[in-house]
Amino acid sequence: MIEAQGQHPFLLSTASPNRSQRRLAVGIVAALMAAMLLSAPFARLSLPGTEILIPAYAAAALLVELLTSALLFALFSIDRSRAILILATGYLLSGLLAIPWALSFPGVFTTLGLEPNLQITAVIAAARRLGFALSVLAFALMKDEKDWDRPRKASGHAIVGWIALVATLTSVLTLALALRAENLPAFMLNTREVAPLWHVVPAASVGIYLTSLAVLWTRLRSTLDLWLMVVLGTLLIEILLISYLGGATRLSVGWWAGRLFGLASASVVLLVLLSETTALHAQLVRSIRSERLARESRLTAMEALSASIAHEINQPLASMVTNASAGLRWLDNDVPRVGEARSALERVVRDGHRARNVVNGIRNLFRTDTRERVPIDLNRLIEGVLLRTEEETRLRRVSIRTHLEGALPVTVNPMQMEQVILNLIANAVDALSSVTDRPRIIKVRSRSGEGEVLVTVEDNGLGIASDLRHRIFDPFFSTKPEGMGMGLMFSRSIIEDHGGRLWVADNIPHGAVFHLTLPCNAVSDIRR
Amino acid sequence: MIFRGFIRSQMVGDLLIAIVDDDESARDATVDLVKALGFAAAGFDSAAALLRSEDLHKMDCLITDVRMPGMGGFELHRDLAASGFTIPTILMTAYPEDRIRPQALGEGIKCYIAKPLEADELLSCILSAVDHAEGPVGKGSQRR
Repeated sequence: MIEAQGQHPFLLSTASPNRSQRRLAVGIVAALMAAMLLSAPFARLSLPGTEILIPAYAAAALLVELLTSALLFALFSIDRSRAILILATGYLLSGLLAIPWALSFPGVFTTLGLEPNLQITAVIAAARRLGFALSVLAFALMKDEKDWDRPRKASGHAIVGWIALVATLTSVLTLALALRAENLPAFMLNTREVAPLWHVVPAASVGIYLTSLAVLWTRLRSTLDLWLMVVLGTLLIEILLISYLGGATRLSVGWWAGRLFGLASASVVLLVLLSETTALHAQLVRSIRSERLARESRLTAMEALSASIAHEINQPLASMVTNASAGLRWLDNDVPRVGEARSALERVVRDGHRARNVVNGIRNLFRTDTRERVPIDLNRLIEGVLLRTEEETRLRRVSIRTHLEGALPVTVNPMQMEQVILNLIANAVDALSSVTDRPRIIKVRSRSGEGEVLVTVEDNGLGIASDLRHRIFDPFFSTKPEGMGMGLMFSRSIIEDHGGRLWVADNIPHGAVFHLTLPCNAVSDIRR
Repeated sequence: MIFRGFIRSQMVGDLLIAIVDDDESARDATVDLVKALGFAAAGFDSAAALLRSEDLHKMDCLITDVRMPGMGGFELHRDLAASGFTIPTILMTAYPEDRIRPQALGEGIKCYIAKPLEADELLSCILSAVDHAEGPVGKGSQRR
């Protein structure tokens, strides 16, 4: 699976978003904007006493962000993209920082005797917001890095390491803030109102959000990219409500609305990511199942193919044994019959050649140089094949009528094309074996059309039953008792490999007609 | 020699054996082996060719392949039996199946043998087939 790294179609980070996902994303952002506009007139309204809701909000934020980060860490363990690792870390940091943020929030945990410095909450909020924004920006910038830049080490250690680092960082930061509170920048005037210095934070955040949005917009590839854009849109709305519409006053309607919208949106995004992960997983399971089925049917096909090959080789081998036995018997006579023994041995030689031809034929079938194509005149190839089959058709009282039009320049593998034509002729001859009430006739026609050549081989045999017609190109399907059932399958795959088509239709009034098309080249290409 | 001392040795050369196989080289080989074993033999490329033959009634024994286009060996045997004309029949096949053998013997087939043919096995098959045949053996067959 190493070579397929970064190309899994089943990961959030690689699967492309479809139309309904895009629509849902746009819908969520639109709904949030509407909600923002609705709450805007009341944004500055103060809601004193609502500190009591802070722990609940923080707990929810912690949970959503930890779950999202867990999902992203899991994604990283497969995808090995550093961008995703950084994003996961950003979520983890933001989630963990929600704890000291809530604990230090003025007037929330006073019953526990916590009355920390005014500035601590603000510093944590700044770290949380900017830290997360930077992780998204880093993701957007790094997400398209090439496979070979990705770490190949075990991802487990990296994940544990980063989690430990973030946890330590959070603890150290919190501790440092608590111990050195008097040195902190003055972000707050009092427990509710911010100092002018604070305005740097939302402004910087908006800048980073917009940059990240722009980067993601231009490089939108995956489902994850799409939903991160939704997250950024939500964060923009949240910061607008909190810091601008809400007048940057804590516990105002705007302040709460921004947080709650942000939380709701983060939850929706998490749910969407989870459900899409599950959907992609289901897709993966289905694809593995169908791959397994395909492999099984390939194995069955290979078994059947080996059986046919074994048959084709066993036949002459058995004749050789029988002929050799006969030869020995003739020599064992009281008066050795040398003449008879000689002709038995001659048949052994003939059978040996036949076995070799079978083996050569199979080797040709699987040869790698079958892609070697040369420009030829298809009509001359057809004539050559017909010449070779002349004796056979005469013996079986089949007359072949040809109507080959001019020169048909095609670029093909001549050996393969001979096999196809030979196969079609042989099938037509076989189809005529049971015809006794009319002359057995095969018509071979060819002509060139628009950019392609058309060859038809028609017989006036019994035709192909309509319920069998769709199966005759299947491997190992044969209407002949001794047929390998490979001829038409190979013929069709050869023709399609050459960019042509092979199909069958009824011949009127009797028999079947096989049609074959191939792309045509300019006449001058023909190699004489 | 193989046939020396055998009761029927003086009649062996008079027996005419039909060989039906669609594969030309296999048919030629079998015909020659049967001749080398001392019988007269005639080859046919299909069941239909044998059934059409004027010499059908002169045959003392039939050796036929099982799998052939059109009519197979089994059907040929049944066809002959149904027309009331029974020739001692030997089935030969490149794909012997143990579950087919009892069925074949049950239908009155004398022997069910595997290809490639072993000379001794084929000989004993022919001899036991014609020996068990009903009626006089070698009815009016012609020397070839």
